[in-house]
Amino acid sequence: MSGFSDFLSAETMRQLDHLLLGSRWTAEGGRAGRHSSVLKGASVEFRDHRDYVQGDSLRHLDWKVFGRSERYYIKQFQEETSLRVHLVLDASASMDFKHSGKITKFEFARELAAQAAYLANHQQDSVGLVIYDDEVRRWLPAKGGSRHVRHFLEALGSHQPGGRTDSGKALEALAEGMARRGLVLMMSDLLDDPEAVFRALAHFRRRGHDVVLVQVLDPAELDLPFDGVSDFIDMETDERLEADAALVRHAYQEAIGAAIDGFRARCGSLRVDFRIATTDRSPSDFLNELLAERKRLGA
Amino acid sequence: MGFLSPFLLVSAAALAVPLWLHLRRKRRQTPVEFPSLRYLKSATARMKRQAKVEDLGLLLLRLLLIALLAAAFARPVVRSSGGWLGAARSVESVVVIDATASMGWRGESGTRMDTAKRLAREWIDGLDRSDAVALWVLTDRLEKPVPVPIADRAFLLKQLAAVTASDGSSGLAPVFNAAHEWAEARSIGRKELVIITDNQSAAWDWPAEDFFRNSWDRAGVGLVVLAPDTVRAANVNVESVAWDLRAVREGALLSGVAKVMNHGDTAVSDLLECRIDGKIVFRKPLEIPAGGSVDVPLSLAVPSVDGPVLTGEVTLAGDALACDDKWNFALPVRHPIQALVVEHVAGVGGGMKPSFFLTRAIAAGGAGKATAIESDAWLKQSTEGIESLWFTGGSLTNEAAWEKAMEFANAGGTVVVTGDLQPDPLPADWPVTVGEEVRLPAGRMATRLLASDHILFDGVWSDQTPFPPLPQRIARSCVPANGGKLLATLAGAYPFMVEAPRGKGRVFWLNSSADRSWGDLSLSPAFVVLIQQMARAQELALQTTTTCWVGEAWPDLSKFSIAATWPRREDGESAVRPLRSGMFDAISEDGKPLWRCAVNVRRAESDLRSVEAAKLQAILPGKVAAGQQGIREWREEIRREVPLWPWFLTAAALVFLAEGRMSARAAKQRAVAAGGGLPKWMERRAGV
Repeated sequence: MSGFSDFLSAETMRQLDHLLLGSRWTAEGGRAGRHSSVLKGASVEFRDHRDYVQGDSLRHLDWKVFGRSERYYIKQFQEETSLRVHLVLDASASMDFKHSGKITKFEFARELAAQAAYLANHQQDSVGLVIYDDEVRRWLPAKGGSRHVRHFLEALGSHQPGGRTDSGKALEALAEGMARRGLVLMMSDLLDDPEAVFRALAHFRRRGHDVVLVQVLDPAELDLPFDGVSDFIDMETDERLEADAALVRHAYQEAIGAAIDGFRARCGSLRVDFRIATTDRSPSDFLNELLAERKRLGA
Repeated sequence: MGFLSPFLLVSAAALAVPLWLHLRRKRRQTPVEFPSLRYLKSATARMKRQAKVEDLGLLLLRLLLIALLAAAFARPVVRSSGGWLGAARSVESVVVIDATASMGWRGESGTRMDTAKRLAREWIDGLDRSDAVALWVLTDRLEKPVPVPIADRAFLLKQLAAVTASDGSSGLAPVFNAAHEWAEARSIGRKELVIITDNQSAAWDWPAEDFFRNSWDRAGVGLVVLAPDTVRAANVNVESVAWDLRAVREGALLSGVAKVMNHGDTAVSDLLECRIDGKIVFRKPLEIPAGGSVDVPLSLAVPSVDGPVLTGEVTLAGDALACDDKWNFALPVRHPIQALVVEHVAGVGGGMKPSFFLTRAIAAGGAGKATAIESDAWLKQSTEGIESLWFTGGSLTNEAAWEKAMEFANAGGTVVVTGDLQPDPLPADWPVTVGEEVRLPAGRMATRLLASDHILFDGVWSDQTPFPPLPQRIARSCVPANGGKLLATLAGAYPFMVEAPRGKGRVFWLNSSADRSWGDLSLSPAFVVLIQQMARAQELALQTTTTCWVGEAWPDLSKFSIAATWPRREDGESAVRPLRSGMFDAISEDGKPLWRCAVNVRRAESDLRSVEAAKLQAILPGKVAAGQQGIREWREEIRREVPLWPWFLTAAALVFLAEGRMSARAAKQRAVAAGGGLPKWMERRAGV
């Protein structure tokens, strides 16, 4: 039987208990929760007044205002709902890379996903899982409940990375299937066609999702710390490239830096929260930092 | 193109080193699984192409560097036809012509010397106008008409035309020694040594193999030994003439042996003649076997000679080498002795005068005439025409008589006194001290010569000459004094003969006849020769050598009281040696012949058989060739052999610099690409 303890230590879970995973925008949860809903209705949290129109329930008439102004105003309240958290994992072969980091990129993403799921579950939110490479391999729609969580964790723990990446194709299909607004936490190394990736992200955004894009990288992918002439083998295509790492290091760093800058700019324009996570860090530290930052921004 | 040290080409095996390193580097590529080559590709697209080019370029440069060095070590040369490679260095040639006597051998196309000059001319004509040539000539020694290479062709050809075959004789060792010194001198031009010689065996009779192995620098100079022809020349010569007399007198019988040699491969008939003063006094036909010799006995009566020396020649009919077909000889002439004996008649019994035996001993065999006078007549006696003056016991009656005798000696005459002639008191310049009479041991006593090379004994007396028992029993224990020199002793203890120079003449003292005057001494036939030698001592003292070889120093004329000189050279310089064979006169200042010398060619020149070319080639660090064909071949093969290794070394240096810059630039690019800097020394090397 799978449980969060398969992925998280007790200490990590204790730390997560103090965190809040939220969306920057309103959500469309299936049940009451602690997140702002796109709907306005019964709630304890006052939101606004509006003029009374015929047909409105007198239950929401603000009699105090009427007593002072003899005008009819209806009190409006913010509805609070649960959050649908969609955890999207890139499980292509390139995610199975480990050089300078402590764990593979996929292991990092999986642990991060587990922590996010724990947090969502702890907040009584729904959590869904999408694992893809060149197509969607596993898709658990966002739900709550211990049974769902068990399925979630089994799916998360049993999948092994492999295959080529085609984020555009996988995410486009995914965006179509996720109608209700929620939080999409996508973890990928983004070694894919950037245009296709951002087309898919734009699709998510049009549907009102709060998208957090975490680019998971091994430090070696940023530094290229190899010595001498190496025969580089593409983990997804088995393509080979002979190169003197020392000779191309600077150009490589410039190239990948430019790519990241491009990601960041495109994400900014789409209002996608873009983060870079390197595998030499602890996933919980990264999540702590991410949530603290998002909280500061109002999530 | 060829290589002087082809075995050093094995160093090209070092080419394998950079190749091995290059391939090893290829093999050592580490496989690295990487998430994606997307960004790596774009980064390496430009660098990879450049790195490949640089890698290949560096490999090629390193291979080229090693190949150039290996080739340079093997000392490549190219046989250029005078193109730009050959023109880069001018040629400095030394042409040596062997002008020894053997080069006078006459073949169908003239003498070998003529051919040698034609070959030298051809060689010089084949040089570029800017090339320089020196001309050396080997006679009895190495002469240098043009000592250092010059480009003045007119002067050079004039000097060449003046070269003639000499009667000299010499080996080739001086040529190579001088050439070695010349080759060691600094020069920017290529050096070439052309030796034109008939390669006689005698010319190579020196440790040539050791010389070439240890001293000759092959790389420094191109060498060819060129023979005028390949004809196997035959030659017959008068090898020697040996006479039984060292000096002659008119009417004497002169005997000797002439040795005639045949250096050819076939027997030869010839006619031997002996001429004196141009008149044939002996003639005999000969048959000389191949490679053998014939001894011909000669016998003739000495004719009347007007002069101090009898001269003549022994000749053959003549062949292709004329200089050794004649043997010149000269023998000193002994003129009749004119002696005066002063005697003291009183006290000699039997009516026999003291001078009886002495005068007959002096005149024995017709050697001359001795006149005896009484001691009383001495002071009034004229000494004109007298060569020697002899005093018997008791004849020196007073001091004036001795003084007159000394005047005679000072003028060049010879005065002979004996032990029994001891005036009392003794004159101050008497040649010995006062000696007491001693009794000699009985029996035979040996005479020991203390100055065996003295002119008195020369050719007539030695320690081995049988000596008869002395009849006398009494001698004097005198010792030399007043410049006297002991010439001989009796029994190794008693002075026998003392000579004391006086002016231009001399005084001889003989420890003899202390009791019986001259009679005892002259009674012995063994003393007759000695007495006659003393009687003509004046003549002997003025005589010197009458023969020498070409190239030897002239006979010494310093003994003559009259200044005389041997023939001068054509340029008027006083010659220290004869350059030709023949008969030569030493002329006094008043133009009269004072002495004569017979000069002959050394017979080493007579054997014309040459060293085999193959044998010579084995030891010679150059080419052995013959005739015009030989000189043309050598011109093709060696003269145009231009060394290429300086070019190879220069190219290697340039390649080394290029490799350094390229590798430094590559290192710099790697350092920059890796985000690091370049060491300063490498920056300097890379020129950044």
